[in-house]
Amino acid sequence: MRLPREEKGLWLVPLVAVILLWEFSAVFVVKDPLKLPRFSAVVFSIYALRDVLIADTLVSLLHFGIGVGLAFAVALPLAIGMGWSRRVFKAVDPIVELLRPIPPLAWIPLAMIWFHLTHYAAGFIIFIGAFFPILIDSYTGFRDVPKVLVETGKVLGCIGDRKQIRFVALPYALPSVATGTRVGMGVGWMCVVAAEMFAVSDYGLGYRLFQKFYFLHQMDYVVAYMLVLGLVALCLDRLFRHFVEERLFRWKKGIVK
Amino acid sequence: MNHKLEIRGVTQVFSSEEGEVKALEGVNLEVRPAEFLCIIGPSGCGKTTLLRMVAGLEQPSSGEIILDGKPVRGPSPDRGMVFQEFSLFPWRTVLRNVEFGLEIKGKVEGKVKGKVKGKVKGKVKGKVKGKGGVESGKKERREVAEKYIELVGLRGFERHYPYELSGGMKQRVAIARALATEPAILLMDEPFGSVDAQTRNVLQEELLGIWQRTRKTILFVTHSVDEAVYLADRVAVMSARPGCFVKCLEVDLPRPRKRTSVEANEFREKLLMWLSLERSKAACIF
Repeated sequence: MRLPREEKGLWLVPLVAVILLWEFSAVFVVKDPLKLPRFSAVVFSIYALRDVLIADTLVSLLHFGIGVGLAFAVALPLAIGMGWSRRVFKAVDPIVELLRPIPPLAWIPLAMIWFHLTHYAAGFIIFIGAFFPILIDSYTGFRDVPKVLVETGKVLGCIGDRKQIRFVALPYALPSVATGTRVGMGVGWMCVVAAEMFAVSDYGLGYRLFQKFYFLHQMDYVVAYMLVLGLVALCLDRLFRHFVEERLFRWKKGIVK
Repeated sequence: MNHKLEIRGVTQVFSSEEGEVKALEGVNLEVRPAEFLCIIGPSGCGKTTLLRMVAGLEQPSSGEIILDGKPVRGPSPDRGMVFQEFSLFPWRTVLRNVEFGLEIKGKVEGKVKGKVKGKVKGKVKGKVKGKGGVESGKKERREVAEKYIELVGLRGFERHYPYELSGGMKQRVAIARALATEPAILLMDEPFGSVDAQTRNVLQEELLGIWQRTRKTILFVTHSVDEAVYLADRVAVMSARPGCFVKCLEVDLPRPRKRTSVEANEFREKLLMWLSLERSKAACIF
Protein backbone atom coordinates (compact mmCIF):
# COMPACT_ATOMS: atom_id res chain seq x y z
CA MET A 1 0.00 0.00 0.00
CA ARG A 2 1.38 3.41 -0.94
CA LEU A 3 2.02 5.87 1.87
CA PRO A 4 0.63 9.37 1.16
CA ARG A 5 3.29 12.02 0.69
CA GLU A 6 1.90 14.95 2.64
CA GLU A 7 0.80 14.84 6.26
CA LYS A 8 -2.84 15.30 5.39
CA GLY A 9 -3.94 11.69 5.12
CA LEU A 10 -1.30 10.35 7.45
CA TRP A 11 -3.73 9.41 10.21
CA LEU A 12 -5.60 7.04 7.91
CA VAL A 13 -2.69 4.65 7.60
CA PRO A 14 -2.35 3.48 11.20
CA LEU A 15 -6.13 3.46 11.56
CA VAL A 16 -6.66 1.14 8.61
CA ALA A 17 -3.77 -1.02 9.75
CA VAL A 18 -5.29 -1.41 13.22
CA ILE A 19 -8.70 -2.26 11.80
CA LEU A 20 -7.24 -4.91 9.53
CA LEU A 21 -5.23 -6.35 12.38
CA TRP A 22 -8.30 -6.43 14.57
CA GLU A 23 -10.41 -8.23 12.00
CA PHE A 24 -7.66 -10.71 11.32
CA SER A 25 -7.01 -11.54 14.99
CA ALA A 26 -10.74 -11.87 15.70
CA VAL A 27 -11.33 -14.28 12.89
CA PHE A 28 -8.15 -16.35 12.84
CA VAL A 29 -6.48 -16.02 16.22
CA VAL A 30 -8.99 -15.49 19.03
CA LYS A 31 -11.94 -17.07 17.30
CA ASP A 32 -14.23 -16.29 20.23
CA PRO A 33 -16.85 -13.58 19.65
CA LEU A 34 -17.14 -13.12 23.40
CA LYS A 35 -13.50 -12.32 23.93
CA LEU A 36 -12.98 -10.29 20.78
CA PRO A 37 -15.90 -9.44 18.51
CA ARG A 38 -15.07 -8.84 14.88
CA PHE A 39 -14.76 -5.28 13.64
CA SER A 40 -17.30 -6.01 10.94
CA ALA A 41 -19.71 -7.36 13.56
CA VAL A 42 -19.27 -4.20 15.58
CA VAL A 43 -19.98 -2.00 12.58
CA PHE A 44 -23.08 -4.02 11.83
CA SER A 45 -24.21 -3.60 15.44
CA ILE A 46 -24.05 0.15 15.13
CA TYR A 47 -26.37 -0.09 12.19
CA ALA A 48 -28.68 -2.54 13.95
CA LEU A 49 -28.88 -0.37 17.07
CA ARG A 50 -29.27 2.90 15.27
CA ASP A 51 -32.62 3.87 16.78
CA VAL A 52 -31.87 3.28 20.41
CA LEU A 53 -28.36 4.60 19.81
CA ILE A 54 -29.63 8.08 19.02
CA ALA A 55 -31.85 8.18 22.10
CA ASP A 56 -29.01 6.93 24.28
CA THR A 57 -26.58 9.47 22.90
CA LEU A 58 -28.98 12.32 23.52
CA VAL A 59 -29.65 11.28 27.10
CA SER A 60 -25.94 10.92 27.77
CA LEU A 61 -25.39 14.35 26.30
CA LEU A 62 -28.06 15.67 28.62
CA HIS A 63 -26.26 14.27 31.64
CA PHE A 64 -23.04 15.63 30.24
CA GLY A 65 -24.56 19.06 29.71
CA ILE A 66 -25.88 19.22 33.26
CA GLY A 67 -22.59 18.09 34.72
CA VAL A 68 -20.26 20.30 32.70
CA GLY A 69 -22.57 23.30 32.81
CA LEU A 70 -22.75 23.16 36.59
CA ALA A 71 -19.05 22.51 36.91
CA PHE A 72 -18.29 25.60 34.86
CA ALA A 73 -20.78 27.77 36.73
CA VAL A 74 -19.31 26.81 40.10
CA ALA A 75 -15.64 26.56 39.16
CA LEU A 76 -15.27 29.89 37.37
CA PRO A 77 -16.28 32.26 40.20
CA LEU A 78 -14.24 30.18 42.62
CA ALA A 79 -11.26 30.29 40.28
CA ILE A 80 -11.52 34.06 40.00
CA GLY A 81 -11.46 34.30 43.79
CA MET A 82 -8.60 31.87 44.19
CA GLY A 83 -6.52 33.31 41.39
CA TRP A 84 -6.96 36.94 42.26
CA SER A 85 -6.69 36.86 46.04
CA ARG A 86 -3.86 35.10 47.83
CA ARG A 87 -6.00 34.93 50.93
CA VAL A 88 -8.89 33.18 49.27
CA PHE A 89 -6.46 30.75 47.71
CA LYS A 90 -4.77 29.88 50.97
CA ALA A 91 -8.13 29.49 52.66
CA VAL A 92 -9.78 27.30 50.06
CA ASP A 93 -6.93 25.33 48.49
CA PRO A 94 -6.58 22.72 51.26
CA ILE A 95 -10.23 21.73 50.85
CA VAL A 96 -9.87 21.58 47.08
CA GLU A 97 -6.76 19.44 47.28
CA LEU A 98 -8.47 17.13 49.73
CA LEU A 99 -11.50 16.56 47.53
CA ARG A 100 -9.71 16.43 44.22
CA PRO A 101 -8.17 12.93 44.43
CA ILE A 102 -11.49 11.31 45.35
CA PRO A 103 -12.53 9.44 42.21
CA PRO A 104 -15.92 10.37 40.74
CA LEU A 105 -16.97 6.75 41.15
CA ALA A 106 -16.66 7.05 44.89
CA TRP A 107 -19.30 9.77 44.84
CA ILE A 108 -21.95 7.44 43.40
CA PRO A 109 -23.48 6.32 46.72
CA LEU A 110 -23.89 9.92 47.84
CA ALA A 111 -25.29 10.89 44.47
CA MET A 112 -27.85 8.12 44.70
CA ILE A 113 -28.97 9.20 48.14
CA TRP A 114 -29.00 12.93 47.37
CA PHE A 115 -30.52 12.87 43.91
CA HIS A 116 -32.14 9.42 43.74
CA LEU A 117 -32.50 7.91 40.30
CA THR A 118 -32.79 11.11 38.32
CA HIS A 119 -30.78 12.75 35.57
CA TYR A 120 -29.27 14.99 38.21
CA ALA A 121 -27.58 12.07 39.91
CA ALA A 122 -25.77 11.27 36.69
CA GLY A 123 -25.09 14.93 36.07
CA PHE A 124 -23.55 15.17 39.51
CA ILE A 125 -20.96 12.47 38.85
CA ILE A 126 -20.01 14.17 35.62
CA PHE A 127 -19.85 17.44 37.55
CA ILE A 128 -17.28 15.94 39.92
CA GLY A 129 -15.20 14.82 36.98
CA ALA A 130 -15.29 18.12 35.12
CA PHE A 131 -15.00 20.47 38.07
CA PHE A 132 -11.37 20.18 39.10
CA PRO A 133 -9.66 20.58 35.73
CA ILE A 134 -11.78 23.67 35.03
CA LEU A 135 -11.02 25.10 38.46
CA ILE A 136 -7.29 24.53 38.41
CA ASP A 137 -6.55 25.70 34.89
CA SER A 138 -8.75 28.73 35.41
CA TYR A 139 -7.25 29.88 38.67
CA THR A 140 -3.80 29.36 37.26
CA GLY A 141 -4.74 31.68 34.44
CA PHE A 142 -5.93 34.36 36.86
CA ARG A 143 -2.92 33.95 39.08
CA ASP A 144 -0.50 34.37 36.21
CA VAL A 145 -1.76 37.75 35.04
CA PRO A 146 1.45 39.77 34.65
CA LYS A 147 1.81 42.55 37.18
CA VAL A 148 2.78 45.02 34.47
CA LEU A 149 -0.60 44.56 32.79
CA VAL A 150 -2.51 45.13 36.02
CA GLU A 151 -0.45 48.25 36.74
CA THR A 152 -0.91 49.48 33.19
CA GLY A 153 -4.63 49.12 33.76
CA LYS A 154 -4.33 51.10 36.97
CA VAL A 155 -2.51 54.04 35.42
CA LEU A 156 -5.14 54.14 32.71
CA GLY A 157 -7.91 54.47 35.26
CA CYS A 158 -8.83 50.82 35.74
CA ILE A 159 -8.92 50.87 39.50
CA GLY A 160 -10.61 48.46 41.88
CA ASP A 161 -10.77 44.68 41.85
CA ARG A 162 -13.97 44.46 39.83
CA LYS A 163 -12.76 46.59 36.94
CA GLN A 164 -9.34 44.99 36.96
CA ILE A 165 -10.81 41.52 36.81
CA ARG A 166 -13.22 42.48 34.10
CA PHE A 167 -10.87 44.41 31.85
CA VAL A 168 -7.47 42.87 32.49
CA ALA A 169 -7.52 39.56 34.34
CA LEU A 170 -10.44 37.85 32.66
CA PRO A 171 -9.37 38.50 29.07
CA TYR A 172 -5.87 37.38 29.93
CA ALA A 173 -7.05 34.22 31.66
CA LEU A 174 -9.63 33.26 29.05
CA PRO A 175 -7.39 30.87 27.10
CA SER A 176 -6.55 29.05 30.35
CA VAL A 177 -10.23 28.84 31.18
CA ALA A 178 -10.87 27.38 27.72
CA THR A 179 -8.13 24.80 28.13
CA GLY A 180 -9.43 23.81 31.55
CA THR A 181 -12.94 23.51 30.18
CA ARG A 182 -11.77 21.32 27.34
CA VAL A 183 -9.90 19.00 29.71
CA GLY A 184 -12.85 19.05 32.10
CA MET A 185 -15.15 18.09 29.27
CA GLY A 186 -12.90 15.16 28.48
CA VAL A 187 -12.86 13.88 32.03
CA GLY A 188 -16.58 14.55 32.41
CA TRP A 189 -17.43 12.47 29.40
CA MET A 190 -15.33 9.63 30.68
CA CYS A 191 -17.56 9.57 33.74
CA VAL A 192 -20.67 8.95 31.67
CA VAL A 193 -20.50 5.20 32.07
CA ALA A 194 -19.98 5.46 35.81
CA ALA A 195 -22.68 8.10 36.07
CA GLU A 196 -25.25 6.00 34.25
CA MET A 197 -24.43 2.64 35.73
CA PHE A 198 -27.32 2.65 38.16
CA ALA A 199 -30.28 3.19 35.90
CA VAL A 200 -30.97 6.82 36.47
CA SER A 201 -33.15 6.56 33.40
CA ASP A 202 -34.03 4.01 30.76
CA TYR A 203 -31.62 5.52 28.31
CA GLY A 204 -27.99 6.48 28.16
CA LEU A 205 -24.89 5.11 26.46
CA GLY A 206 -23.32 4.12 29.75
CA TYR A 207 -26.49 2.66 31.13
CA ARG A 208 -27.13 0.41 28.19
CA LEU A 209 -23.55 -0.64 27.81
CA PHE A 210 -23.25 -1.72 31.40
CA GLN A 211 -26.69 -2.92 32.37
CA LYS A 212 -27.96 -4.42 29.19
CA PHE A 213 -25.29 -5.44 26.80
CA TYR A 214 -22.68 -6.58 29.25
CA PHE A 215 -25.32 -8.33 31.26
CA LEU A 216 -26.50 -10.24 28.24
CA HIS A 217 -22.98 -10.88 26.96
CA GLN A 218 -23.58 -9.05 23.77
CA MET A 219 -19.97 -8.06 23.39
CA ASP A 220 -20.28 -6.78 19.84
CA TYR A 221 -22.88 -4.33 21.15
CA VAL A 222 -20.59 -3.42 24.01
CA VAL A 223 -17.68 -2.62 21.74
CA ALA A 224 -20.01 -0.75 19.40
CA TYR A 225 -21.09 1.52 22.24
CA MET A 226 -17.48 1.94 23.34
CA LEU A 227 -16.67 3.23 19.89
CA VAL A 228 -19.63 5.58 19.97
CA LEU A 229 -18.47 6.92 23.32
CA GLY A 230 -15.10 7.65 21.80
CA LEU A 231 -16.50 9.22 18.66
CA VAL A 232 -18.88 11.53 20.50
CA ALA A 233 -16.02 12.69 22.70
CA LEU A 234 -13.93 13.37 19.63
CA CYS A 235 -16.72 15.40 18.05
CA LEU A 236 -17.31 17.44 21.19
CA ASP A 237 -13.64 18.16 21.50
CA ARG A 238 -13.19 19.21 17.89
CA LEU A 239 -16.30 21.39 17.92
CA PHE A 240 -15.15 23.10 21.09
CA ARG A 241 -11.72 23.71 19.67
CA HIS A 242 -13.10 25.10 16.47
CA PHE A 243 -15.69 27.43 17.89
CA VAL A 244 -14.10 28.52 21.11
CA GLU A 245 -10.37 28.08 21.07
CA GLU A 246 -9.79 29.32 17.57
CA ARG A 247 -11.22 32.65 18.54
CA LEU A 248 -9.64 32.93 21.97
CA PHE A 249 -6.19 31.71 21.12
CA ARG A 250 -5.51 34.06 18.24
CA TRP A 251 -3.58 36.49 20.37
CA LYS A 252 -1.61 33.80 22.11
CA LYS A 253 -0.06 32.78 18.81
CA GLY A 254 2.69 35.26 19.14
CA ILE A 255 3.56 34.33 22.70
CA VAL A 256 3.31 30.59 22.82
CA LYS A 257 5.36 29.54 19.85
CA MET B 1 6.17 80.20 38.80
CA ASN B 2 3.61 77.51 39.41
CA HIS B 3 5.20 74.13 39.30
CA LYS B 4 3.52 71.30 37.51
CA LEU B 5 4.79 68.69 39.89
CA GLU B 6 6.35 69.00 43.30
CA ILE B 7 8.06 66.29 45.24
CA ARG B 8 8.74 67.25 48.83
CA GLY B 9 10.75 65.40 51.42
CA VAL B 10 9.84 62.00 50.07
CA THR B 11 11.27 59.08 51.96
CA GLN B 12 10.66 55.44 51.25
CA VAL B 13 11.44 52.74 53.74
CA PHE B 14 10.55 49.13 53.32
CA SER B 15 11.12 46.20 55.60
CA SER B 16 12.89 43.12 54.41
CA GLU B 17 14.52 40.12 56.05
CA GLU B 18 17.64 42.10 56.86
CA GLY B 19 15.67 44.78 58.61
CA GLU B 20 14.67 48.16 57.28
CA VAL B 21 15.93 49.32 53.91
CA LYS B 22 15.76 52.95 52.95
CA ALA B 23 15.20 53.26 49.23
CA LEU B 24 14.80 57.01 49.15
CA GLU B 25 15.50 59.72 51.65
CA GLY B 26 14.59 63.37 51.59
CA VAL B 27 13.85 63.60 47.88
CA ASN B 28 12.91 67.02 46.61
CA LEU B 29 12.14 68.05 43.06
CA GLU B 30 10.17 70.64 41.18
CA VAL B 31 9.06 70.06 37.62
CA ARG B 32 8.08 72.98 35.43
CA PRO B 33 5.10 72.85 33.07
CA ALA B 34 5.84 71.49 29.58
CA GLU B 35 9.37 70.66 30.61
CA PHE B 36 11.24 67.53 29.64
CA LEU B 37 13.02 66.42 32.78
CA CYS B 38 15.27 63.38 32.95
CA ILE B 39 16.08 61.56 36.15
CA ILE B 40 19.36 59.76 35.92
CA GLY B 41 21.20 57.66 38.45
CA PRO B 42 23.00 54.39 39.08
CA SER B 43 21.08 51.11 39.11
CA GLY B 44 19.13 50.51 42.28
CA CYS B 45 19.19 54.12 43.40
CA GLY B 46 15.43 54.31 43.63
CA LYS B 47 14.56 56.33 40.54
CA THR B 48 12.00 53.80 39.38
CA THR B 49 10.51 53.70 42.87
CA LEU B 50 10.21 57.48 42.80
CA LEU B 51 8.50 57.44 39.43
CA ARG B 52 6.09 54.78 40.60
CA MET B 53 5.21 56.96 43.57
CA VAL B 54 4.44 59.87 41.28
CA ALA B 55 2.23 57.48 39.30
CA GLY B 56 0.52 56.50 42.52
CA LEU B 57 1.46 52.84 42.30
CA GLU B 58 3.40 53.08 45.55
CA GLN B 59 3.07 55.28 48.60
CA PRO B 60 5.97 57.14 50.19
CA SER B 61 6.70 56.45 53.84
CA SER B 62 6.77 60.18 54.36
CA GLY B 63 6.71 63.30 52.26
CA GLU B 64 4.33 64.60 49.63
CA ILE B 65 3.84 64.54 45.93
CA ILE B 66 1.74 67.31 44.49
CA LEU B 67 0.52 67.60 40.91
CA ASP B 68 -1.19 70.79 39.76
CA GLY B 69 -1.66 71.73 43.37
CA LYS B 70 -3.37 68.48 44.33
CA PRO B 71 -1.72 65.70 46.33
CA VAL B 72 -1.20 62.35 44.66
CA ARG B 73 -3.06 59.55 46.41
CA GLY B 74 -3.27 56.73 43.94
CA PRO B 75 -3.00 55.89 40.25
CA SER B 76 -5.04 57.92 37.81
CA PRO B 77 -5.18 58.45 34.05
CA ASP B 78 -4.15 62.01 34.85
CA ARG B 79 -0.62 60.71 35.23
CA GLY B 80 0.13 58.60 32.21
CA MET B 81 2.92 56.06 32.40
CA VAL B 82 4.99 54.09 29.94
CA PHE B 83 6.85 51.13 31.38
CA GLN B 84 10.11 49.61 30.28
CA GLU B 85 8.60 46.19 29.66
CA PHE B 86 6.17 45.72 26.82
CA SER B 87 2.83 46.38 28.39
CA LEU B 88 0.29 46.23 25.62
CA PHE B 89 -2.79 44.12 26.26
CA PRO B 90 -2.10 41.19 23.95
CA TRP B 91 -5.77 40.35 23.38
CA ARG B 92 -6.57 43.80 22.05
CA THR B 93 -5.70 45.33 18.70
CA VAL B 94 -3.61 48.48 18.51
CA LEU B 95 -6.74 50.59 18.23
CA ARG B 96 -8.45 48.90 21.17
CA ASN B 97 -5.29 49.24 23.25
CA VAL B 98 -5.09 52.97 22.66
CA GLU B 99 -8.81 53.27 23.37
CA PHE B 100 -8.49 51.47 26.69
CA GLY B 101 -8.17 54.49 28.94
CA LEU B 102 -11.01 56.23 27.15
CA GLU B 103 -13.17 53.16 27.44
CA ILE B 104 -12.64 53.00 31.20
CA LYS B 105 -13.32 56.72 31.50
CA GLY B 106 -16.52 56.27 29.56
CA LYS B 107 -17.60 53.52 31.89
CA VAL B 108 -17.01 55.76 34.87
CA GLU B 109 -18.70 58.83 33.50
CA GLY B 110 -21.45 56.91 31.79
CA LYS B 111 -23.36 56.11 34.95
CA VAL B 112 -26.03 58.71 35.59
CA LYS B 113 -28.68 58.72 38.24
CA GLY B 114 -31.77 60.83 38.46
CA LYS B 115 -33.17 63.23 35.87
CA VAL B 116 -31.14 63.76 32.76
CA LYS B 117 -31.87 66.06 29.90
CA GLY B 118 -30.44 65.10 26.56
CA LYS B 119 -29.51 62.24 24.22
CA VAL B 120 -27.85 59.46 26.12
CA LYS B 121 -26.20 56.22 25.03
CA GLY B 122 -25.38 53.34 27.31
CA LYS B 123 -26.52 52.68 30.86
CA VAL B 124 -28.58 55.33 32.56
CA LYS B 125 -30.66 55.10 35.68
CA GLY B 126 -33.50 57.52 36.16
CA LYS B 127 -35.54 59.75 33.92
CA VAL B 128 -34.36 61.11 30.64
CA LYS B 129 -36.06 63.90 28.77
CA GLY B 130 -35.62 65.81 25.57
CA LYS B 131 -32.74 66.40 23.18
CA GLY B 132 -29.24 67.58 23.78
CA GLY B 133 -26.26 66.42 25.46
CA VAL B 134 -24.35 63.70 27.09
CA GLU B 135 -21.50 62.65 24.82
CA SER B 136 -21.47 58.96 24.06
CA GLY B 137 -18.50 56.72 23.66
CA LYS B 138 -17.69 54.72 20.64
CA LYS B 139 -17.28 57.11 17.79
CA GLU B 140 -15.54 59.81 19.74
CA ARG B 141 -13.24 57.27 21.37
CA ARG B 142 -12.22 55.87 18.03
CA GLU B 143 -11.46 59.30 16.65
CA VAL B 144 -9.30 60.27 19.58
CA ALA B 145 -7.47 56.96 19.46
CA GLU B 146 -6.86 57.26 15.74
CA LYS B 147 -5.48 60.73 16.24
CA TYR B 148 -2.85 59.50 18.67
CA ILE B 149 -2.04 56.44 16.61
CA GLU B 150 -1.27 58.78 13.76
CA LEU B 151 0.78 60.97 16.07
CA VAL B 152 3.12 58.11 16.85
CA GLY B 153 3.34 57.22 13.19
CA LEU B 154 1.40 53.98 13.18
CA ARG B 155 -1.45 54.82 10.87
CA GLY B 156 -2.61 51.69 9.10
CA PHE B 157 -1.76 49.40 12.01
CA GLU B 158 -4.97 49.93 13.95
CA ARG B 159 -6.21 46.38 13.44
CA HIS B 160 -2.93 44.67 14.19
CA TYR B 161 -2.34 42.65 17.33
CA PRO B 162 0.68 43.27 19.56
CA TYR B 163 2.26 39.97 18.63
CA GLU B 164 2.51 41.23 15.07
CA LEU B 165 4.45 44.34 16.05
CA SER B 166 8.15 44.98 16.55
CA GLY B 167 9.49 46.23 19.88
CA GLY B 168 9.72 49.81 18.71
CA MET B 169 6.17 49.76 17.41
CA LYS B 170 4.89 48.31 20.66
CA GLN B 171 6.41 51.13 22.66
CA ARG B 172 4.97 53.66 20.27
CA VAL B 173 1.53 52.19 20.86
CA ALA B 174 2.18 52.36 24.59
CA ILE B 175 2.99 56.05 24.25
CA ALA B 176 -0.14 56.68 22.18
CA ARG B 177 -2.19 54.83 24.75
CA ALA B 178 -0.80 56.87 27.63
CA LEU B 179 -1.39 60.13 25.76
CA ALA B 180 -4.92 59.28 24.67
CA THR B 181 -6.32 60.07 28.12
CA GLU B 182 -4.68 63.50 27.83
CA PRO B 183 -2.78 63.29 31.11
CA ALA B 184 -1.37 66.30 32.93
CA ILE B 185 2.05 64.66 33.01
CA LEU B 186 3.69 61.77 31.18
CA LEU B 187 5.90 59.43 33.20
CA MET B 188 8.37 57.26 31.36
CA ASP B 189 10.49 54.56 32.98
CA GLU B 190 13.33 53.70 30.61
CA PRO B 191 10.79 53.16 27.86
CA PHE B 192 13.40 52.47 25.22
CA GLY B 193 15.47 50.08 27.29
CA SER B 194 14.03 46.99 25.63
CA VAL B 195 14.69 47.93 22.02
CA ASP B 196 17.87 47.85 20.00
CA ALA B 197 20.18 50.86 19.82
CA GLN B 198 19.16 52.09 16.39
CA THR B 199 15.46 51.88 17.09
CA ARG B 200 16.18 53.63 20.35
CA ASN B 201 17.65 56.64 18.57
CA VAL B 202 14.72 56.81 16.19
CA LEU B 203 12.21 56.58 19.02
CA GLN B 204 14.00 59.33 20.92
CA GLU B 205 13.68 61.66 17.93
CA GLU B 206 10.04 60.78 17.53
CA LEU B 207 9.38 61.34 21.20
CA LEU B 208 10.83 64.82 20.96
CA GLY B 209 8.52 65.51 18.03
CA ILE B 210 5.53 64.26 19.99
CA TRP B 211 6.58 66.32 22.99
CA GLN B 212 6.90 69.47 20.97
CA ARG B 213 3.53 68.93 19.35
CA THR B 214 1.62 68.07 22.53
CA ARG B 215 3.49 70.36 24.97
CA LYS B 216 3.27 67.67 27.64
CA THR B 217 5.31 67.71 30.83
CA ILE B 218 7.51 64.64 30.70
CA LEU B 219 9.34 62.98 33.56
CA PHE B 220 11.78 60.50 32.05
CA VAL B 221 13.86 58.01 34.00
CA THR B 222 16.96 56.60 32.39
CA HIS B 223 20.41 55.39 33.16
CA SER B 224 21.74 56.34 29.76
CA VAL B 225 23.73 59.55 29.77
CA ASP B 226 23.44 59.86 26.00
CA GLU B 227 19.70 59.65 26.19
CA ALA B 228 19.49 62.33 28.87
CA VAL B 229 21.78 64.67 26.97
CA TYR B 230 19.75 64.31 23.80
CA LEU B 231 16.27 64.59 25.27
CA ALA B 232 16.20 66.68 28.41
CA ASP B 233 15.66 70.33 29.30
CA ARG B 234 16.99 69.50 32.73
CA VAL B 235 18.70 66.48 34.18
CA ALA B 236 18.26 65.56 37.84
CA VAL B 237 21.05 63.32 39.10
CA MET B 238 20.17 60.88 41.83
CA SER B 239 22.59 59.42 44.32
CA ALA B 240 22.97 55.74 45.10
CA ARG B 241 20.72 54.22 47.71
CA PRO B 242 19.23 55.76 49.76
CA GLY B 243 18.44 57.98 46.80
CA CYS B 244 18.15 61.72 46.77
CA PHE B 245 18.96 64.33 44.17
CA VAL B 246 22.56 65.53 44.25
CA LYS B 247 22.37 67.93 41.32
CA CYS B 248 20.04 69.38 38.78
CA LEU B 249 21.66 70.46 35.55
CA GLU B 250 20.16 72.69 32.91
CA VAL B 251 20.82 71.41 29.42
CA ASP B 252 21.13 74.59 27.43
CA LEU B 253 21.93 72.98 24.15
CA PRO B 254 19.76 74.38 21.38
CA ARG B 255 17.26 72.12 19.68
CA PRO B 256 17.32 70.22 17.37
CA ARG B 257 20.33 68.68 19.07
CA LYS B 258 23.27 67.01 17.50
CA ARG B 259 24.31 63.97 19.47
CA THR B 260 27.95 64.37 18.61
CA SER B 261 28.46 68.11 18.89
CA VAL B 262 31.24 69.53 21.03
CA GLU B 263 28.80 71.10 23.47
CA ALA B 264 26.92 67.85 23.80
CA ASN B 265 30.15 66.06 24.65
CA GLU B 266 31.07 68.67 27.22
CA PHE B 267 27.76 68.28 28.89
CA ARG B 268 28.08 64.53 28.75
CA GLU B 269 31.38 64.79 30.59
CA LYS B 270 29.90 67.03 33.26
CA LEU B 271 27.03 64.64 33.77
CA LEU B 272 29.32 61.64 34.01
CA MET B 273 31.33 63.43 36.62
CA TRP B 274 28.32 64.07 38.77
CA LEU B 275 27.19 60.50 38.41
CA SER B 276 30.48 59.14 39.63
CA LEU B 277 30.76 61.51 42.54
CA GLU B 278 30.72 59.99 45.96
CA ARG B 279 28.21 61.88 47.97
CA SER B 280 27.15 62.20 51.57
CA LYS B 281 23.82 63.21 53.00
CA ALA B 282 24.91 66.81 53.03
CA ALA B 283 25.36 66.82 49.28
CA CYS B 284 21.66 66.32 48.65
CA ILE B 285 20.06 69.49 47.41
CA PHE B 286 16.67 71.09 47.07
